[in-house]
Amino acid sequence: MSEAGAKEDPTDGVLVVRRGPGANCSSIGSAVEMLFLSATVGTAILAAVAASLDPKDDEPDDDEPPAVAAAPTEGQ
Amino acid sequence: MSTPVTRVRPEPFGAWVRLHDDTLVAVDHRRAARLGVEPAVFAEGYVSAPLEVHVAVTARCPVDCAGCYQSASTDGAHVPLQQLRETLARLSEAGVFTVAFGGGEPLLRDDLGALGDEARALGLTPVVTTSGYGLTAARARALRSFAQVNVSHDGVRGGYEAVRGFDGVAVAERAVAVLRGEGIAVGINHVLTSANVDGVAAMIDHARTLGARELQLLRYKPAGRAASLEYLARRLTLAQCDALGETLRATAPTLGEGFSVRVDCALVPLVSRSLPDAATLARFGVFGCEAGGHLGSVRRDGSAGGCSFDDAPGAEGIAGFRAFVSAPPEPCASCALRSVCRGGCKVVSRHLGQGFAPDPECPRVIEHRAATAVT
Repeated sequence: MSEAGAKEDPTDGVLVVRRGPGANCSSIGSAVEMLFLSATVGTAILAAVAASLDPKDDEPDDDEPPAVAAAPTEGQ
Repeated sequence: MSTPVTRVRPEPFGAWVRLHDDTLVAVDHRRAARLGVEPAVFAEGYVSAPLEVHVAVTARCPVDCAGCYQSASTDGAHVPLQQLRETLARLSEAGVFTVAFGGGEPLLRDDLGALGDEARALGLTPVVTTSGYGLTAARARALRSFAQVNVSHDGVRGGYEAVRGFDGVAVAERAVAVLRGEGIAVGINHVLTSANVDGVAAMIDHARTLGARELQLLRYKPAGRAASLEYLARRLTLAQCDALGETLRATAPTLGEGFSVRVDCALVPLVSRSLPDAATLARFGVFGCEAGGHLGSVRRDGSAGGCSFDDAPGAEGIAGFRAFVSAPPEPCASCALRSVCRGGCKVVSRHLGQGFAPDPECPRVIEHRAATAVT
């Protein structure tokens, strides 16, 4: 919640969601269901993805490396 | 703490993030920081690496499809293994997420499974397309590192033969069954021409019945053996494009529960009259022509291209794709879908003698040209 008491948009900061990976070797594909999303379903998808990105406290931190903090070097 | 994130790539806007199910998510700096991504410094003029790269692994194929965009043949050469290993290492280092192996027929390589394993070990998501010829249960088991295997299948009731010049339905459907039997996620590649597009709704049902998790619809493109005069008879008509868009719109609500239909980048302009606004499309990762952008290719000689159909020498094609997208002429310049469609398929415009130009088969382009034609 902000100081003003307004709810934070749970999808805030999620810029693009692209379902993958597809497996075509000649051209890049996009899911048809994403082409024709209703606003309600679209918001629900964004919210679900946003929620899944938040680290969960469902596992012990002991001995577990930060799952994502180390990841940038993987692809760089 | 745990997250479903399997790979991230810092970007000037924040980061691209890959989830366990291979969904890609772009996030802003604030959310990237919450995921532990350190802000990176980008040089002026920095260009992000592609999200997906298509890698040709062989020019050999046991069949002789009439419209093969690679002009593959029975005596075509395999790409040397060491070259492919170096390519995979380069793609991983650049931060690419998905690598799609193609041919020719990739299954003709005994080391295809090992290539998939190597891609996985490098943090890439490997996928592959096959005709199904040569697929056995043992070969399928070797493909378990692939996130998905797509089998080419251009339709029942004569659709396959009309597109490829021979009937490979039994081989394709057996391949789907074998792959599913080995627990491998299977998709179907379905090339659309004027001869089979009217059966697309039936093909959607058929693909679902076969147990595929995805049907990938592909525009027929004038490259390789398909770059002929016959292309003009095979391409979709304006009425077929509009009907396809409406069929997809009607089908969309039935998708998403374990079965999806995808349209390729080149189909986006053809169904554009059925599409919503660009902002919605962009937010849900719908890609038009991303050649030289989110999409790249590695040719059989190891050189980089904008997409699999980019046959311009060296990096000339990549530069051409990017130059067009940055400043397209009308009607693309003022088109509401410009940011997503990106001018449509330049393989088509180049084949029809127009160079890097607005897609001449896009309904919006056709309308514009009709309206502005000198009478």
